[in-house]
Amino acid sequence: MEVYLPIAEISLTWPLLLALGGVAGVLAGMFGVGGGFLLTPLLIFVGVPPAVAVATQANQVIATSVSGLLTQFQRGNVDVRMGLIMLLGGLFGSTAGIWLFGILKRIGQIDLTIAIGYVVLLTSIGVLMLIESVRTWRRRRNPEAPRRKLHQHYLVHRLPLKMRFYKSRLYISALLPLGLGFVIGVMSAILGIGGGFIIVPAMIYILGMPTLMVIGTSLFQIVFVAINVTFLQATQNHTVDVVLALLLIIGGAIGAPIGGRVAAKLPSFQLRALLALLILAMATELIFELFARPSAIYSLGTAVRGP
Amino acid sequence: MIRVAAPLLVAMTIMAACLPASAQALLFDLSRPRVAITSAFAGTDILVYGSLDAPGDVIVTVTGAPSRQTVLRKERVLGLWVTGARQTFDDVPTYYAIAANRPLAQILPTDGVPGVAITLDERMAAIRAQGAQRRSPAELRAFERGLIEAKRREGLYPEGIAPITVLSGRLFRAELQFPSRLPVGDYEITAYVLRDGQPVTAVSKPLIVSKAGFSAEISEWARDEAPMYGGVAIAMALVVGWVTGAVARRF
Repeated sequence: MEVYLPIAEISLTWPLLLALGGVAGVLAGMFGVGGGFLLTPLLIFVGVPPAVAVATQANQVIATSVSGLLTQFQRGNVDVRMGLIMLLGGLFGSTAGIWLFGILKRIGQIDLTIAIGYVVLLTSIGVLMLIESVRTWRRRRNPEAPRRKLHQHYLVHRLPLKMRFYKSRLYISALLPLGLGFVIGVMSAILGIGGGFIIVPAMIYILGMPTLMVIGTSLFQIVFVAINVTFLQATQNHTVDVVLALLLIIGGAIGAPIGGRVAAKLPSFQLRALLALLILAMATELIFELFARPSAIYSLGTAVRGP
Repeated sequence: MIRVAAPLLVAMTIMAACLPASAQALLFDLSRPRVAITSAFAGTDILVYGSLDAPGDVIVTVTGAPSRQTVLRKERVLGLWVTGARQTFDDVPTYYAIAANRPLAQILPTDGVPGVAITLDERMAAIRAQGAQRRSPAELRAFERGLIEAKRREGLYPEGIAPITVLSGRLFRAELQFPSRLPVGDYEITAYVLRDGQPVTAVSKPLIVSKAGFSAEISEWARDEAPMYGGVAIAMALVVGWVTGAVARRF
């Protein structure tokens, strides 16, 4: 049952790795997120070195997202124009993020930045999503309550460079998806995540895209960013483990349709509430880790083999 | 002083081991000179067996290739636990295990044998801290203890002493167990013969731990042809993701 992972340099039982991939697959199928924010800590927990976990996960995200992307594409649920603009922002953003990462590392505050960044991000997104889905739920139980306007006009709608996004039925400034892609690129470089769980709510709440379009278009962005990250990690850090990736991918392929079936049965506001609770649980765990006394004060960093 | 003396003693005893068989105080060998880490590797056992010219105590140490190791310390900053100070040590054995025929306290003199590092504490006295002058000796000791604890948690410095069986005072054998998380590199297995707490002789044999077969090919490929490897990893993910997705949708 054991399989040796040539890059991670440890042996793990393969059914465990299939199961971990399956969990990520269920999340991908249910919410259209890669599940990296959950999978990376789990891989580190079972003993995979953090650098290998982060890099291999990018490789795995390509596979879990590509079949979803193709399905959404066939159904016409991908706004390619929106996706391309976001991708452009993402490429600039990840470059800037890697530069910022270097500066923070020199100052010596990268770990604190990552930890606090995660907590702030997860908590705010989780709370926002939860509030929104509870509101929707209340409105359903009480149909007499006044409906909200179809879409609201904020300051962001006055930005220049307006473009028509026919698929999403939007007429918004191109700077919005560009900026969103940029911010997510920065975050994914610093926090080492695919960013699906940030993109999805951001596209719904900031861009105002229809939920149906959001899943397909976010997958479009995620697939290309993951390809870029995998290539950079493989060439610069040599931390992509294909054996580990393959096991996670097969597990994910089993999990994704299960998640998809669950998603089809639940109304979308319940689905969003579930994702919100999951994100908040993750944030609580991280806050606990920040404040609680760690079980081990000392840990091993990098090892360099002698001559 | 200790660092100079230990290899010298080993060198002298290796020279002694090259003398004709009748003059040898200690002879030993390993069941295998090499541990091959293949795709199915889940730890392994190696048999150490040998003979003594006269009854005595036997200790066998296993030392993984000395390497440079960084130790991280978590610190409390404004109520938050964050990774703060780090300390790098040179000459840290990646793996260290001991086997003996009796508890070490009964074999070795209480203050150890000068010039010979056998126990883990003695071996760790030989590691060197980088920029040691920046820290107080107490702090360095704390980092060293932290290093040992972290290695113990990963099973790389096993706590117990593995048993050695001695037959009629002349033949000995020990079953050395290696964990699945064994770091690759050149290991050194050293056997000591002691009488009345004094080492009579010591002999070392190399043990090579390396990846083999499929896992060796993959890691070589990832290192030597990284762009190609990355490209294939991406193509693999695209194809497998697409095919498995298509298959899974049929069910």
